[in-house]
Amino acid sequence: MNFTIGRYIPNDTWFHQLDPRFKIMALLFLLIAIFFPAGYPGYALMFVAVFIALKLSQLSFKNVLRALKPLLFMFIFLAVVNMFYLKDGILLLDLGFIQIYSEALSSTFYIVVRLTLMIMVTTILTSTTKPLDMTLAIEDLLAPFQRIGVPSHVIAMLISIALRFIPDLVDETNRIMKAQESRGVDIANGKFKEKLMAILALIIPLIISAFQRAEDLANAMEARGYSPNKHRTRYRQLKATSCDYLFITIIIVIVIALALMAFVL
Amino acid sequence: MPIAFRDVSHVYTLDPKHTRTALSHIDLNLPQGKMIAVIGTTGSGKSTLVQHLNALLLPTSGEVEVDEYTLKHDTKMRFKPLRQKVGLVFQFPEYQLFEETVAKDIAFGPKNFGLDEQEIDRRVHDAIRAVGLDDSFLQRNPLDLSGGQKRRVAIAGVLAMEPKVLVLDEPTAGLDPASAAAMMALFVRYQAQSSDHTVILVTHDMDNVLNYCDHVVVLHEGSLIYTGDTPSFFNSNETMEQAAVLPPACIVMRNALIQHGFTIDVDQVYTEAALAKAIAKEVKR
Ligand SMILES: Nc1ncnc2c1ncn2[C@@H]1O[C@H](COP(=O)(O)OP(=O)(O)OP(=O)(O)O)[C@@H](O)[C@H]1O
Ligand SMILES: [Mg+2]
Repeated sequence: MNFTIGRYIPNDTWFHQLDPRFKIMALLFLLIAIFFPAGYPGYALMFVAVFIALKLSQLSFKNVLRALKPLLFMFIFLAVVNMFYLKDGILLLDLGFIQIYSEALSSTFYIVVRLTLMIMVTTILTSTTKPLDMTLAIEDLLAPFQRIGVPSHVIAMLISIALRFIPDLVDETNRIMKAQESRGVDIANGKFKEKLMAILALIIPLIISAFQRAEDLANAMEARGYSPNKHRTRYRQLKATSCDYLFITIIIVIVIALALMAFVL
Repeated sequence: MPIAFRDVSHVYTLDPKHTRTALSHIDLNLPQGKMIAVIGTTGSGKSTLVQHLNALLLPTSGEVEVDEYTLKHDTKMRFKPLRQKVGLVFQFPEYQLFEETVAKDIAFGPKNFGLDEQEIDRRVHDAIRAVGLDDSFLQRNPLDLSGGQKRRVAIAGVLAMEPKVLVLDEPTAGLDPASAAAMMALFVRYQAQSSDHTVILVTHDMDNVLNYCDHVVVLHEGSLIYTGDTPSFFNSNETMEQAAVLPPACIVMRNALIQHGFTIDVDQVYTEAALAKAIAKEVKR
């Protein structure tokens, strides 16, 4: 199994060392800014910023592009739908059964650009931030909402446990698959009914073992006195440095620039 | 059913940049109709080796010959007939149970191989008795059984396939001594049923090797360091040291007696009973 989206890539660049809280905030700002109607110059600015970020975090452009591959189909689908429904702007091409207008092209282009940018900035965040740091940061960022009843600690704990168990579940899936293959399960070949049976033979033991693991973990945590309602101190403290403030300032400047382009000019 | 490894290497790909060599250049012929032990320290490649026997893994280079099949890195065929002949029981097989009743779970393998109802029924009954449980278990839910009972049911599920080669990866790990001994007796019985039944056993328990196995294969960091009969293995201190094996008490005792002047035939004497007899003979003399 191969996950490229959201996979942490160990390294030690400036970008990796940034405080995860600031990176998540920056991501939120940028995700909002992507939807400002800032026109082509705005997107050009965003792309330049993303490229600089890619360079700084020493990520290969190819890897980030690979994360986009699954969306290719969606892009094509969007383009086709737009072609049929958007009839504004200048008539570009008349194929008899269908007329292509400039608005269809430009609106498809906007959506593609926005999605591409969104995926790129998200990939930069997940590739340069350890999952555990990410959950710490989410916990800190949600802390202010605790007053209105958001269980920030529980949410962070849930996320970090889920992340922790993904590789284990992948291993477990492989193990069970091999065990059932030894008993004559053939997932690739076989009739529909056989395939259904093969999937059951995989899913049921997997669910049983996942519940078993969850119970074991819960017991182990309780045995060590864990309670989500108690205040806990942390071994790993997040500390902002001047670099982090510089970084968020740059991001805010970019967001303001985009807002100006979109709403003032 | 001949089994041979010819210059087999297996390399796991962790991610595009990292690989781990689990087996390197294994040349091995396994005897038929025997109890064979595969031993070696943790991570030496035992599980990787046995998964080549029913094509769950294919060699990265070299070839594995099992019965009429030759398995190479690019072999493409239906592995089902091979898997019917080579039954593999994984470590902690109790986690593969999934049917509502024990009977259905044991029948799962035979059904996949397309046997008829009557034959399946016979095999289910034979298998449940072979693992030392009675027919009353057949209608129970496998998830309600104890750990040891689940393990037996899982092993019964593979026995019911009636494989010529039965491969077990650490089948006695985590069982109480009495159940472990009963389990070993079961494998010996299965092997003895027919001259072309071979049992291959991955184990860390040297007493099991000494008391039940005819042939020993030793892996060390992915390389084969010994293949040969059990007595010669326990007579070669060098090999045992290399494999990081502590000899069983019986062998230690025998060697100490020899050192102190007893005359004991090392090629014959390696079980407890034989040692006792040899001592009695010496003492009477
Ligand atoms: N699915 C896998 N992916 C990557 N590496 C693996 C995988 N399975 C095993 N390995 C590696 O291959 C080597 C041999 O593993 P293997 O499981 O064959 O050892 P083993 O002798 O069975 O050990 P043990 O006695 O602990 O069961 C080890 O270094 C292990 O980390
Ligand atoms: Mg193993």
